Amino acid sequence: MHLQRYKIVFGGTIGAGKSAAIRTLSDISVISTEAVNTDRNLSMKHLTTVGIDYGEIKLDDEITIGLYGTPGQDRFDFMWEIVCKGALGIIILIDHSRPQRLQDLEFYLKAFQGYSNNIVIGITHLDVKDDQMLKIYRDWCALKNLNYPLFMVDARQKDDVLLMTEALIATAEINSLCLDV
Amino acid sequence: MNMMNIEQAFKLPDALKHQARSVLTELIHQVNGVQFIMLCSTDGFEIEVVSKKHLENSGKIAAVSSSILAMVSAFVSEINLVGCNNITLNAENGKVILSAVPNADYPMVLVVSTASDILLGQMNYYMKKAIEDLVKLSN
Repeated sequence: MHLQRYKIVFGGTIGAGKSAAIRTLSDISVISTEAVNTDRNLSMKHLTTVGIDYGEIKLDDEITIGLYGTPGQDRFDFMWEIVCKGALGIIILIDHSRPQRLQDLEFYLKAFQGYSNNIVIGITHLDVKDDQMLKIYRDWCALKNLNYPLFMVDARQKDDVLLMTEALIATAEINSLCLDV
Repeated sequence: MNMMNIEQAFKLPDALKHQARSVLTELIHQVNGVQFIMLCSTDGFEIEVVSKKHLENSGKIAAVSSSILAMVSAFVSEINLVGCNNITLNAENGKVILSAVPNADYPMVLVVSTASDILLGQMNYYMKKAIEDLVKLSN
């Protein structure tokens, strides 16, 4: 049996649910590096990731995915490059409840595009799951000529997080097939 | 607690910052070869710095220090070790000691950068005393 190990990185806004998504999905107890959040202007959450989160999910007998969470604040951007090395792809989570959500999306896309072109976007903190709410993101992506898979997700729901993970893996497989041709 | 209080609740108040600076200033003069001392929050914000040289990137140092200490703490916990509160990094041209400051209200990180020929035992002794003083800071 050939065991394959892949690495997926979670990036995006502070409080968007990166740590929650990893906790939701992981088959093992998650390693976390949380500290008391003293920047309550940026987010009201009590704890924030300052290093990495790490979890694992076994998709079948042969594939294990390492789930790596990064800190959202840009003062920790040095961690992004370190963590993204060798990643299969990056899931960017954007907190929809923040007024500057489109600026957030632009910022994190710009930051993470340099590390991988396999990116999936998850929009979190939507009170109601209404596909129309994704329109502003779709329109923005179309305007910028960007074509990334876009999902509305609840980071606490395993199916939602799994869907993004599978989309990332499927895109990676398609990209590798295109390279083979 | 109103919004203003919540925003300020986890930041070290100015009066305590002043006391913290006195502790750092005393420490930098107690041991020969200390180049700079920084106190930062565990989420990577610079609180106070005393330095014998100009530091341009103090904000980045605070962020990296908090990450390193958190990562090492996670690693140590994963291999079932307990009570590891400090890390010493040995470089060719100096040492850096990172230590947790387990203040109940304001958890912090103390960063001390020194020359390579520092008397490490003396440094550790005075650092321990400084940390005890910083742990006692309270409103």
